[in-house]
Amino acid sequence: MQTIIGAIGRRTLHLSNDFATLLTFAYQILRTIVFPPKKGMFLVRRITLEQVYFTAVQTLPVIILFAILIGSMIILQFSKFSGQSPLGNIIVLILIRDLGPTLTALLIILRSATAVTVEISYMNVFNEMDALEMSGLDPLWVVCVPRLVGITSAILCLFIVFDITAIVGGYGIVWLVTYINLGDNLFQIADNISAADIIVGIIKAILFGIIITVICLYHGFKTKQHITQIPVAASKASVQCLGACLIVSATISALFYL
Amino acid sequence: MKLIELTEYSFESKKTGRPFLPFYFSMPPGDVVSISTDSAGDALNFLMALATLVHPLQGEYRYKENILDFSDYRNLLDAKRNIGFITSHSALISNLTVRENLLLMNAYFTNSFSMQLDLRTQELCKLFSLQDKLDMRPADLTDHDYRFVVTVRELAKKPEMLLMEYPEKYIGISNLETLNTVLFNMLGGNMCFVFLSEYQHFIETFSKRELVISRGTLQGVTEGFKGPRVNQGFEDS
Repeated sequence: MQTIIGAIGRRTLHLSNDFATLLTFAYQILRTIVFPPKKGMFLVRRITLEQVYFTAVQTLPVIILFAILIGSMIILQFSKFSGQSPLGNIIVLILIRDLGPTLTALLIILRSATAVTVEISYMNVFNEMDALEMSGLDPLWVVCVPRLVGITSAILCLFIVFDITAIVGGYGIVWLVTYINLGDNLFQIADNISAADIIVGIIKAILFGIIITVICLYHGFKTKQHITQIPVAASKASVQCLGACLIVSATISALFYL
Repeated sequence: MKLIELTEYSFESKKTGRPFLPFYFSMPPGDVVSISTDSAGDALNFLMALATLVHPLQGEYRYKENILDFSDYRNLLDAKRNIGFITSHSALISNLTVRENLLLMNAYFTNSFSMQLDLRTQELCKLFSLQDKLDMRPADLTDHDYRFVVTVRELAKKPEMLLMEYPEKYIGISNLETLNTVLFNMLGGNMCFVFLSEYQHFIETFSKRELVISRGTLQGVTEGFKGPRVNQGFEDS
Protein backbone atom coordinates (compact mmCIF):
# COMPACT_ATOMS: atom_id res chain seq x y z
CA MET A 1 0.00 0.00 0.00
CA GLN A 2 2.82 2.36 0.96
CA THR A 3 4.54 1.60 -2.34
CA ILE A 4 1.41 2.53 -4.30
CA ILE A 5 0.91 5.75 -2.36
CA GLY A 6 4.63 6.53 -2.76
CA ALA A 7 4.42 5.95 -6.52
CA ILE A 8 1.35 8.19 -6.80
CA GLY A 9 3.08 10.85 -4.73
CA ARG A 10 6.25 10.73 -6.80
CA ARG A 11 4.24 10.87 -10.04
CA THR A 12 2.23 13.84 -8.75
CA LEU A 13 5.39 15.66 -7.70
CA HIS A 14 7.00 14.93 -11.06
CA LEU A 15 3.94 16.21 -12.95
CA SER A 16 3.68 19.30 -10.75
CA ASN A 17 7.35 20.03 -11.27
CA ASP A 18 6.97 19.53 -15.02
CA PHE A 19 3.96 21.85 -15.13
CA ALA A 20 5.70 24.53 -13.05
CA THR A 21 8.75 24.38 -15.36
CA LEU A 22 6.46 24.68 -18.39
CA LEU A 23 4.76 27.75 -16.89
CA THR A 24 8.13 29.32 -16.04
CA PHE A 25 9.31 28.66 -19.57
CA ALA A 26 6.14 30.28 -20.98
CA TYR A 27 6.66 33.25 -18.66
CA GLN A 28 10.26 33.64 -19.84
CA ILE A 29 9.22 33.71 -23.51
CA LEU A 30 6.35 36.16 -22.91
CA ARG A 31 8.66 38.35 -20.82
CA THR A 32 11.18 38.38 -23.67
CA ILE A 33 8.40 39.54 -26.02
CA VAL A 34 7.35 42.34 -23.63
CA PHE A 35 10.94 43.40 -22.82
CA PRO A 36 12.84 42.48 -25.97
CA PRO A 37 16.65 42.66 -26.12
CA LYS A 38 17.99 45.50 -28.28
CA LYS A 39 20.09 43.17 -30.38
CA GLY A 40 18.83 40.84 -33.07
CA MET A 41 15.49 42.51 -33.85
CA PHE A 42 16.11 42.23 -37.59
CA LEU A 43 16.95 38.55 -37.33
CA VAL A 44 13.92 37.82 -35.14
CA ARG A 45 11.58 39.59 -37.60
CA ARG A 46 12.99 37.57 -40.45
CA ILE A 47 12.61 34.23 -38.62
CA THR A 48 9.07 35.22 -37.55
CA LEU A 49 8.11 35.87 -41.19
CA GLU A 50 9.58 32.50 -42.18
CA GLN A 51 7.56 30.84 -39.42
CA VAL A 52 4.35 32.55 -40.61
CA TYR A 53 5.13 31.32 -44.13
CA PHE A 54 5.71 27.72 -42.97
CA THR A 55 2.72 27.62 -40.63
CA ALA A 56 0.12 29.79 -42.36
CA VAL A 57 0.86 30.06 -46.08
CA GLN A 58 1.95 26.46 -46.61
CA THR A 59 -1.00 25.15 -44.58
CA LEU A 60 -3.55 27.24 -46.49
CA PRO A 61 -4.44 24.66 -49.19
CA VAL A 62 -4.89 21.92 -46.56
CA ILE A 63 -7.03 24.09 -44.28
CA ILE A 64 -9.23 25.23 -47.19
CA LEU A 65 -9.81 21.63 -48.28
CA PHE A 66 -10.60 20.50 -44.73
CA ALA A 67 -12.87 23.49 -44.13
CA ILE A 68 -14.90 22.84 -47.28
CA LEU A 69 -15.28 19.14 -46.44
CA ILE A 70 -16.25 19.73 -42.80
CA GLY A 71 -18.51 22.68 -43.66
CA SER A 72 -20.40 20.71 -46.31
CA MET A 73 -20.73 17.67 -43.98
CA ILE A 74 -22.20 19.79 -41.15
CA ILE A 75 -24.54 21.70 -43.44
CA LEU A 76 -25.63 18.45 -45.12
CA GLN A 77 -26.32 16.68 -41.81
CA PHE A 78 -28.04 19.55 -40.01
CA SER A 79 -30.13 20.68 -42.97
CA LYS A 80 -32.41 17.70 -42.08
CA PHE A 81 -33.31 19.45 -38.82
CA SER A 82 -33.79 22.84 -40.36
CA GLY A 83 -37.51 22.58 -39.74
CA GLN A 84 -37.01 22.15 -35.98
CA SER A 85 -34.10 24.47 -35.34
CA PRO A 86 -32.67 27.24 -37.53
CA LEU A 87 -29.64 25.93 -39.45
CA GLY A 88 -27.83 29.27 -39.15
CA ASN A 89 -27.98 29.06 -35.37
CA ILE A 90 -26.59 25.51 -35.33
CA ILE A 91 -23.70 26.46 -37.60
CA VAL A 92 -22.78 29.42 -35.41
CA LEU A 93 -22.96 27.17 -32.33
CA ILE A 94 -20.85 24.37 -33.76
CA LEU A 95 -18.59 25.80 -36.43
CA ILE A 96 -17.71 29.30 -35.31
CA ARG A 97 -17.70 28.88 -31.54
CA ASP A 98 -15.96 25.52 -31.22
CA LEU A 99 -15.07 23.51 -34.31
CA GLY A 100 -13.34 26.37 -36.17
CA PRO A 101 -10.62 27.17 -33.64
CA THR A 102 -10.28 23.56 -32.44
CA LEU A 103 -9.90 22.02 -35.89
CA THR A 104 -7.49 24.77 -36.94
CA ALA A 105 -5.44 24.05 -33.83
CA LEU A 106 -5.56 20.31 -34.59
CA LEU A 107 -4.27 20.87 -38.12
CA ILE A 108 -1.47 23.09 -36.83
CA ILE A 109 -0.57 20.46 -34.22
CA LEU A 110 -0.42 17.77 -36.89
CA ARG A 111 1.47 19.87 -39.40
CA SER A 112 3.64 22.42 -37.62
CA ALA A 113 3.78 21.60 -33.91
CA THR A 114 5.40 18.22 -34.42
CA ALA A 115 7.83 19.82 -36.88
CA VAL A 116 8.79 22.48 -34.31
CA THR A 117 9.35 19.86 -31.59
CA VAL A 118 11.52 17.76 -33.89
CA GLU A 119 13.46 20.81 -35.10
CA ILE A 120 14.21 22.09 -31.60
CA SER A 121 15.02 18.60 -30.28
CA TYR A 122 17.38 18.08 -33.20
CA MET A 123 19.05 21.43 -32.54
CA ASN A 124 19.50 20.47 -28.90
CA VAL A 125 20.78 16.94 -29.49
CA PHE A 126 23.28 18.13 -32.12
CA ASN A 127 24.57 21.01 -29.97
CA GLU A 128 23.15 23.73 -32.24
CA MET A 129 21.71 25.60 -29.24
CA ASP A 130 25.19 25.66 -27.72
CA ALA A 131 26.49 26.95 -31.06
CA LEU A 132 23.95 29.80 -30.94
CA GLU A 133 24.97 30.65 -27.38
CA MET A 134 28.66 30.52 -28.27
CA SER A 135 27.92 33.16 -30.92
CA GLY A 136 26.32 35.31 -28.22
CA LEU A 137 22.78 34.77 -29.53
CA ASP A 138 19.97 34.25 -27.05
CA PRO A 139 18.01 31.09 -28.06
CA LEU A 140 14.93 32.33 -26.22
CA TRP A 141 14.95 35.46 -28.37
CA VAL A 142 15.97 34.06 -31.77
CA VAL A 143 14.38 30.60 -31.55
CA CYS A 144 11.38 30.76 -29.20
CA VAL A 145 9.93 34.24 -29.75
CA PRO A 146 9.70 34.01 -33.58
CA ARG A 147 7.98 30.64 -33.32
CA LEU A 148 5.53 31.83 -30.68
CA VAL A 149 4.60 34.99 -32.60
CA GLY A 150 4.60 33.20 -35.97
CA ILE A 151 2.49 30.22 -34.95
CA THR A 152 0.02 32.29 -32.89
CA SER A 153 -0.61 34.78 -35.69
CA ALA A 154 -0.83 31.90 -38.18
CA ILE A 155 -3.51 30.14 -36.10
CA LEU A 156 -5.46 33.39 -35.78
CA CYS A 157 -5.44 33.94 -39.55
CA LEU A 158 -6.13 30.30 -40.38
CA PHE A 159 -9.07 30.17 -37.95
CA ILE A 160 -10.71 33.08 -39.81
CA VAL A 161 -10.00 31.40 -43.17
CA PHE A 162 -11.37 28.10 -41.82
CA ASP A 163 -14.66 29.61 -40.62
CA ILE A 164 -15.34 31.61 -43.78
CA THR A 165 -14.38 28.72 -46.09
CA ALA A 166 -16.37 26.16 -44.08
CA ILE A 167 -19.56 28.25 -44.27
CA VAL A 168 -19.30 29.63 -47.81
CA GLY A 169 -17.54 26.61 -49.31
CA GLY A 170 -19.79 24.17 -47.49
CA TYR A 171 -22.86 25.95 -48.79
CA GLY A 172 -21.42 26.00 -52.26
CA ILE A 173 -20.74 22.25 -52.27
CA VAL A 174 -24.17 21.36 -50.85
CA TRP A 175 -25.84 23.67 -53.38
CA LEU A 176 -23.81 22.15 -56.23
CA VAL A 177 -24.17 18.45 -55.52
CA THR A 178 -27.57 18.12 -53.76
CA TYR A 179 -31.14 19.30 -54.21
CA ILE A 180 -31.52 20.30 -50.55
CA ASN A 181 -33.31 23.60 -50.19
CA LEU A 182 -31.05 25.79 -48.04
CA GLY A 183 -33.36 28.79 -48.16
CA ASP A 184 -32.01 31.90 -46.45
CA ASN A 185 -29.75 30.04 -44.02
CA LEU A 186 -26.68 32.04 -45.01
CA PHE A 187 -28.48 35.19 -43.80
CA GLN A 188 -29.54 33.36 -40.62
CA ILE A 189 -25.86 32.78 -39.80
CA ALA A 190 -25.13 36.47 -40.21
CA ASP A 191 -28.06 37.29 -37.89
CA ASN A 192 -26.96 34.78 -35.25
CA ILE A 193 -23.28 35.74 -35.01
CA SER A 194 -22.67 38.03 -32.06
CA ALA A 195 -19.57 40.03 -31.14
CA ALA A 196 -18.97 37.54 -28.30
CA ASP A 197 -18.69 34.67 -30.82
CA ILE A 198 -15.98 36.50 -32.73
CA ILE A 199 -14.15 37.56 -29.55
CA VAL A 200 -14.27 34.01 -28.17
CA GLY A 201 -12.89 32.66 -31.43
CA ILE A 202 -10.03 35.16 -31.38
CA ILE A 203 -9.22 34.47 -27.71
CA LYS A 204 -9.22 30.74 -28.35
CA ALA A 205 -7.00 31.08 -31.42
CA ILE A 206 -4.45 33.22 -29.53
CA LEU A 207 -4.41 30.90 -26.52
CA PHE A 208 -4.11 27.83 -28.76
CA GLY A 209 -1.14 29.43 -30.51
CA ILE A 210 0.61 30.15 -27.23
CA ILE A 211 -0.18 26.72 -25.77
CA ILE A 212 0.91 24.78 -28.86
CA THR A 213 4.16 26.70 -29.30
CA VAL A 214 5.17 26.67 -25.64
CA ILE A 215 4.49 22.94 -25.22
CA CYS A 216 6.37 22.07 -28.40
CA LEU A 217 9.35 24.27 -27.57
CA TYR A 218 9.39 22.93 -24.01
CA HIS A 219 9.55 19.32 -25.18
CA GLY A 220 12.12 20.28 -27.81
CA PHE A 221 14.38 21.87 -25.20
CA LYS A 222 13.90 18.93 -22.83
CA THR A 223 15.43 16.55 -25.38
CA LYS A 224 19.08 16.62 -24.47
CA GLN A 225 21.22 13.68 -25.38
CA HIS A 226 19.85 10.97 -27.59
CA ILE A 227 18.37 11.12 -31.07
CA THR A 228 15.90 8.37 -30.02
CA GLN A 229 14.28 10.87 -27.65
CA ILE A 230 13.18 13.06 -30.59
CA PRO A 231 10.14 10.98 -31.77
CA VAL A 232 9.11 10.47 -28.13
CA ALA A 233 9.23 14.23 -27.57
CA ALA A 234 7.23 14.90 -30.75
CA SER A 235 4.58 12.36 -29.77
CA LYS A 236 4.30 13.65 -26.18
CA ALA A 237 4.15 17.26 -27.36
CA SER A 238 1.35 16.67 -29.89
CA VAL A 239 -0.81 14.71 -27.42
CA GLN A 240 -0.30 17.34 -24.71
CA CYS A 241 -1.02 20.17 -27.17
CA LEU A 242 -4.32 18.58 -28.20
CA GLY A 243 -5.33 17.85 -24.60
CA ALA A 244 -4.44 21.37 -23.43
CA CYS A 245 -6.27 22.98 -26.37
CA LEU A 246 -9.45 20.95 -25.70
CA ILE A 247 -9.38 21.84 -21.98
CA VAL A 248 -8.87 25.54 -22.74
CA SER A 249 -11.59 25.47 -25.41
CA ALA A 250 -14.10 23.87 -23.05
CA THR A 251 -13.18 26.28 -20.24
CA ILE A 252 -13.57 29.39 -22.41
CA SER A 253 -16.87 28.13 -23.87
CA ALA A 254 -18.13 27.47 -20.34
CA LEU A 255 -17.02 30.91 -19.16
CA PHE A 256 -18.69 32.77 -22.02
CA TYR A 257 -21.81 30.77 -22.72
CA LEU A 258 -22.94 29.12 -19.49
CA MET B 1 45.25 41.39 -15.56
CA LYS B 2 44.00 37.88 -16.16
CA LEU B 3 41.61 37.08 -18.95
CA ILE B 4 40.13 34.16 -17.04
CA GLU B 5 40.50 32.98 -13.47
CA LEU B 6 38.72 29.93 -12.10
CA THR B 7 38.93 29.51 -8.34
CA GLU B 8 37.92 26.38 -6.40
CA TYR B 9 36.05 25.52 -9.54
CA SER B 10 34.22 22.23 -9.84
CA PHE B 11 31.69 21.01 -12.40
CA GLU B 12 29.89 17.89 -13.46
CA SER B 13 30.68 15.98 -16.62
CA LYS B 14 27.80 16.41 -19.10
CA LYS B 15 28.00 12.80 -20.26
CA THR B 16 28.92 10.82 -17.18
CA GLY B 17 27.71 13.11 -14.40
CA ARG B 18 31.07 12.56 -12.65
CA PRO B 19 32.28 15.69 -10.80
CA PHE B 20 35.52 17.36 -11.78
CA LEU B 21 37.33 18.02 -8.48
CA PRO B 22 37.86 21.66 -7.43
CA PHE B 23 40.85 23.37 -9.07
CA TYR B 24 42.44 26.75 -9.70
CA PHE B 25 43.29 27.90 -13.21
CA SER B 26 44.05 31.30 -14.67
CA MET B 27 45.30 32.70 -17.96
CA PRO B 28 46.75 36.11 -18.73
CA PRO B 29 46.09 37.51 -22.22
CA GLY B 30 48.31 35.90 -24.84
CA ASP B 31 48.84 32.72 -22.81
CA VAL B 32 48.89 29.39 -24.65
CA VAL B 33 48.21 26.18 -22.78
CA SER B 34 48.24 22.63 -24.10
CA ILE B 35 46.38 19.89 -22.29
CA SER B 36 47.87 16.54 -21.47
CA THR B 37 45.33 14.00 -20.28
CA ASP B 38 44.54 10.36 -19.65
CA SER B 39 40.92 10.98 -20.66
CA ALA B 40 39.88 12.90 -23.78
CA GLY B 41 36.37 13.15 -22.32
CA ASP B 42 37.66 14.96 -19.22
CA ALA B 43 39.68 17.31 -21.40
CA LEU B 44 36.61 18.12 -23.52
CA ASN B 45 34.62 18.74 -20.35
CA PHE B 46 37.34 21.08 -19.16
CA LEU B 47 37.23 22.97 -22.46
CA MET B 48 33.43 23.14 -22.18
CA ALA B 49 33.76 24.50 -18.66
CA LEU B 50 36.16 27.19 -19.91
CA ALA B 51 33.58 27.98 -22.61
CA THR B 52 30.97 28.36 -19.82
CA LEU B 53 28.92 25.58 -21.40
CA VAL B 54 28.96 23.59 -18.17
CA HIS B 55 27.49 24.93 -14.96
CA PRO B 56 29.79 24.86 -11.95
CA LEU B 57 29.03 22.85 -8.84
CA GLN B 58 31.12 25.30 -6.83
CA GLY B 59 33.72 28.02 -7.18
CA GLU B 60 33.85 31.18 -9.25
CA TYR B 61 34.71 32.00 -12.82
CA ARG B 62 36.15 35.45 -13.43
CA TYR B 63 36.23 36.70 -16.99
CA LYS B 64 38.21 39.92 -17.35
CA GLU B 65 38.03 40.31 -13.56
CA ASN B 66 34.23 40.08 -13.50
CA ILE B 67 32.60 37.12 -11.76
CA LEU B 68 30.32 35.30 -14.18
CA ASP B 69 26.79 34.74 -12.91
CA PHE B 70 25.65 31.27 -13.95
CA SER B 71 22.13 31.69 -12.52
CA ASP B 72 20.84 32.85 -15.93
CA TYR B 73 22.42 31.68 -19.19
CA ARG B 74 21.85 35.17 -20.64
CA ASN B 75 24.48 36.57 -18.25
CA LEU B 76 27.07 34.36 -19.97
CA LEU B 77 26.35 35.30 -23.57
CA ASP B 78 28.74 38.27 -23.65
CA ALA B 79 31.61 36.10 -22.45
CA LYS B 80 30.64 33.24 -24.76
CA ARG B 81 30.71 35.37 -27.90
CA ASN B 82 34.35 36.20 -27.17
CA ILE B 83 35.36 32.56 -26.85
CA GLY B 84 36.18 30.50 -29.92
CA PHE B 85 35.18 26.89 -29.42
CA ILE B 86 36.41 24.36 -31.98
CA THR B 87 35.73 20.85 -30.71
CA SER B 88 33.71 17.75 -31.55
CA HIS B 89 30.90 19.47 -29.60
CA SER B 90 30.79 22.42 -32.04
CA ALA B 91 28.02 22.54 -34.61
CA LEU B 92 26.57 24.57 -37.45
CA ILE B 93 22.91 25.59 -37.56
CA SER B 94 21.49 22.96 -39.89
CA ASN B 95 18.60 24.93 -41.38
CA LEU B 96 20.86 27.76 -42.52
CA THR B 97 23.32 27.80 -45.41
CA VAL B 98 27.05 28.05 -44.78
CA ARG B 99 26.94 31.75 -45.69
CA GLU B 100 24.05 32.39 -43.28
CA ASN B 101 25.90 30.49 -40.55
CA LEU B 102 28.92 32.73 -41.07
CA LEU B 103 26.78 35.88 -41.16
CA LEU B 104 24.52 35.00 -38.23
CA MET B 105 26.51 36.72 -35.50
CA ASN B 106 27.01 39.84 -37.57
CA ALA B 107 23.29 40.01 -38.44
CA TYR B 108 22.36 39.66 -34.77
CA PHE B 109 24.70 42.30 -33.39
CA THR B 110 24.42 44.85 -36.19
CA ASN B 111 20.65 44.43 -36.67
CA SER B 112 21.10 44.19 -40.41
CA PHE B 113 21.52 41.47 -42.95
CA SER B 114 23.84 41.59 -45.89
CA MET B 115 24.72 38.50 -47.91
CA GLN B 116 28.26 39.85 -48.24
CA LEU B 117 30.87 38.30 -45.95
CA ASP B 118 33.38 40.66 -44.39
CA LEU B 119 36.95 40.66 -45.68
CA ARG B 120 38.35 38.61 -42.81
CA THR B 121 35.74 35.86 -43.25
CA GLN B 122 36.27 35.90 -47.02
CA GLU B 123 40.01 35.43 -46.51
CA LEU B 124 39.44 32.57 -44.08
CA CYS B 125 36.99 30.93 -46.51
CA LYS B 126 39.63 31.24 -49.21
CA LEU B 127 42.28 29.68 -46.97
CA PHE B 128 40.01 26.71 -46.27
CA SER B 129 38.67 26.53 -49.87
CA LEU B 130 35.08 27.21 -48.93
CA GLN B 131 34.22 29.94 -51.48
CA ASP B 132 32.16 27.63 -53.69
CA LYS B 133 30.38 25.98 -50.75
CA LEU B 134 28.89 29.09 -49.19
CA ASP B 135 25.36 28.47 -50.44
CA MET B 136 25.25 24.82 -49.41
CA ARG B 137 23.46 23.51 -46.33
CA PRO B 138 25.62 21.93 -43.61
CA ALA B 139 24.07 18.51 -44.37
CA ASP B 140 25.41 18.72 -47.94
CA LEU B 141 29.00 19.32 -46.81
CA THR B 142 31.64 16.66 -46.35
CA ASP B 143 32.76 16.09 -42.75
CA HIS B 144 35.98 17.90 -43.56
CA ASP B 145 34.27 20.97 -45.01
CA TYR B 146 31.78 21.01 -42.12
CA ARG B 147 34.66 21.26 -39.67
CA PHE B 148 36.36 23.91 -41.81
CA VAL B 149 33.19 26.05 -41.65
CA VAL B 150 33.05 25.69 -37.86
CA THR B 151 36.74 26.67 -37.72
CA VAL B 152 36.20 29.69 -39.99
CA ARG B 153 33.14 30.82 -37.98
CA GLU B 154 35.00 30.60 -34.69
CA LEU B 155 38.17 32.28 -35.99
CA ALA B 156 36.21 35.00 -37.79
CA LYS B 157 34.65 36.21 -34.56
CA LYS B 158 38.11 37.29 -33.36
CA PRO B 159 37.92 35.47 -30.03
CA GLU B 160 39.76 36.61 -26.93
CA MET B 161 40.21 32.96 -26.03
CA LEU B 162 40.32 30.03 -28.42
CA LEU B 163 39.58 26.49 -27.25
CA MET B 164 40.45 23.66 -29.58
CA GLU B 165 40.28 19.90 -29.38
CA TYR B 166 42.67 17.79 -31.44
CA PRO B 167 43.31 20.29 -34.26
CA GLU B 168 45.29 17.62 -36.12
CA LYS B 169 42.21 15.39 -36.24
CA TYR B 170 39.63 18.16 -36.54
CA ILE B 171 40.97 19.79 -39.66
CA GLY B 172 43.57 17.21 -40.65
CA ILE B 173 47.34 17.33 -40.44
CA SER B 174 47.59 18.43 -44.08
CA ASN B 175 45.63 21.59 -43.24
CA LEU B 176 47.41 22.41 -40.00
CA GLU B 177 49.80 24.71 -41.78
CA THR B 178 46.90 26.91 -42.85
CA LEU B 179 45.57 27.02 -39.29
CA ASN B 180 49.10 27.64 -38.06
CA THR B 181 49.40 30.83 -40.10
CA VAL B 182 46.05 32.17 -38.87
CA LEU B 183 46.82 31.27 -35.25
CA PHE B 184 50.18 33.02 -35.29
CA ASN B 185 48.49 36.22 -36.41
CA MET B 186 45.81 35.92 -33.76
CA LEU B 187 48.21 35.07 -30.94
CA GLY B 188 50.14 38.22 -31.81
CA GLY B 189 46.97 40.08 -30.80
CA ASN B 190 47.01 38.69 -27.25
CA MET B 191 44.47 35.91 -27.77
CA CYS B 192 44.54 33.08 -25.21
CA PHE B 193 44.71 29.59 -26.65
CA VAL B 194 43.92 26.32 -24.87
CA PHE B 195 44.18 23.16 -26.88
CA LEU B 196 44.23 19.41 -26.59
CA SER B 197 46.54 17.71 -29.06
CA GLU B 198 48.57 14.58 -29.54
CA TYR B 199 50.58 16.12 -32.34
CA GLN B 200 53.94 16.95 -30.83
CA HIS B 201 54.86 19.47 -33.52
CA PHE B 202 51.73 21.49 -32.83
CA ILE B 203 52.31 21.35 -29.07
CA GLU B 204 55.94 22.37 -29.39
CA THR B 205 55.12 25.15 -31.79
CA PHE B 206 52.43 26.83 -29.71
CA SER B 207 52.42 25.72 -26.09
CA LYS B 208 53.81 27.94 -23.33
CA ARG B 209 52.49 25.75 -20.50
CA GLU B 210 51.22 22.23 -20.22
CA LEU B 211 48.15 21.49 -18.16
CA VAL B 212 47.76 17.96 -16.86
CA ILE B 213 44.26 16.54 -16.42
CA SER B 214 44.23 13.16 -14.81
CA ARG B 215 41.89 11.07 -12.65
CA GLY B 216 39.03 13.52 -13.13
CA THR B 217 40.76 16.73 -12.16
CA LEU B 218 43.41 19.25 -13.01
CA GLN B 219 46.66 17.91 -11.56
CA GLY B 220 48.96 20.79 -12.31
CA VAL B 221 50.50 23.12 -14.83
CA THR B 222 54.00 22.66 -16.18
CA GLU B 223 55.81 25.85 -17.13
CA GLY B 224 58.81 26.27 -19.34
CA PHE B 225 57.59 25.63 -22.87
CA LYS B 226 58.88 27.97 -25.50
CA GLY B 227 55.46 29.14 -26.61
CA PRO B 228 54.40 30.31 -30.07
CA ARG B 229 57.36 30.54 -32.37
CA VAL B 230 56.23 33.30 -34.66
CA ASN B 231 56.81 32.95 -38.38
CA GLN B 232 57.81 29.36 -37.92
CA GLY B 233 55.51 27.06 -39.81
CA PHE B 234 55.45 23.30 -39.63
CA GLU B 235 57.66 22.97 -42.66
CA ASP B 236 60.43 24.95 -41.04
CA SER B 237 60.24 23.64 -37.49
